[in-house]
Amino acid sequence: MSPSLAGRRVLIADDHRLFAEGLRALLRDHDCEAEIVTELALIETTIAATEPDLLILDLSFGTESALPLLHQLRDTQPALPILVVSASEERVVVERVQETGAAYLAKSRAGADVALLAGAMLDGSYRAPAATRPRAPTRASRQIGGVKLSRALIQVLKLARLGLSNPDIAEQIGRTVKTVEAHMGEIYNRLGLKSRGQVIRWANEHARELGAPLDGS
Amino acid sequence: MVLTVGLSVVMVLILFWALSSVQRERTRAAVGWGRRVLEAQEEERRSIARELHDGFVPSIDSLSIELRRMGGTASSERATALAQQLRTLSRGLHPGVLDHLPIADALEQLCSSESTDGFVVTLDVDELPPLDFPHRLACYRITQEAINNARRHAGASRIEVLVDEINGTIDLTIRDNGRGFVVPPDSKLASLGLRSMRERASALGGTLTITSALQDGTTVHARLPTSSPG
Repeated sequence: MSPSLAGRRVLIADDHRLFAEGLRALLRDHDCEAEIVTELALIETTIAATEPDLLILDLSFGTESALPLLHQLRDTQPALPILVVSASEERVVVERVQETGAAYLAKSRAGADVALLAGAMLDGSYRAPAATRPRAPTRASRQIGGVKLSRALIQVLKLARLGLSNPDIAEQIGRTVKTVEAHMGEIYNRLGLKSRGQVIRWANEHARELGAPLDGS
Repeated sequence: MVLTVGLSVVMVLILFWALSSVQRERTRAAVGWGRRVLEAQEEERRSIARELHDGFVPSIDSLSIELRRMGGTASSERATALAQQLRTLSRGLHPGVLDHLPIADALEQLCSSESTDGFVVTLDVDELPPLDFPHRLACYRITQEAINNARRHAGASRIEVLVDEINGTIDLTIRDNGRGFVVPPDSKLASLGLRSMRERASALGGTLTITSALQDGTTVHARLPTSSPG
């Protein structure tokens, strides 16, 4: 029995009625009443009508995702605690949910943990978990001289600065000449320049920020 | 005499033209057919996955909750384990991340879940414009297939996935450090995986090239225009 759940109102938004009913029965065991909404389009109006203390939200509604709504609710209902209970357990999905300030619970753990977690959210004792795993892949674009350049563009720029031709750059970075040409075109666009000479001059002026030619970033 | 030779040349030219147009037609039909099979297969997988993921599995989850409420914790855990098995099956049929996340996030999930101790998959992706589902699916499946090939056939230990968008074209490169192979000409691509990668690119009006040399790794390079052909 979770004392912080007693007498509180919860809204369960899940398009699978049987599952939502299961959650409702579980909460009722803790003297907590819950409304159910099964349509994504009706969630916001139901929140307005029922003014719940907590929203339990699924992420999949047929072919639609509730992630955009989650972002929206962060702005429109900043005080409403949201617990996402989802079958999408991929790490990146969990991270995207937690970035909105909502708590995440895997559906497979719902039976065991939902009352505990909902109770903690309602009495304010819930603490969001710190990110435990560093992101394996890299994602990098940098501002150089006030211009945002992707890692690939920076790599091409650094080699062009050394005087390499497009085919030589392609050979060096293991991509096709066509790709390098496209990258050079994009560099012209972003820097607002018209010739390779101007680009190389710009790169020389920003050599320190660009970094060494072969350091891979 | 001159007339007969002239007529024969014209006849040969007409015959040649007719034969090559039949050949062209056949190739076009084969490409169209392959594309339809691929689309139908994807659609079927997606619908079975959805049936499992959104139908059966939550029903088993609710059964598990019911069992727990009745005090049957062990039975409840067994039902949960069954639901998890079905979820794994569903994810194998259709990557659910594509339904929720932009392609950069879905690829991040794919690359990090494929990375293991002796097999590193890195991803380099910048901000991409929002893509429609067919483009997200094509990027995801091409990357997945290339990673699988590198792992299974090339004995690679390192893979780089690079994604850019330039002038309305998605530029996707998957490069491995495996043992490489001699790439057969297009018409002789026996591997279903390699063929399906190319089919996916061409279905979106794009191209896919495979460059490889023995002992020198393999590079799969797809260019996908983001405005589909009409």
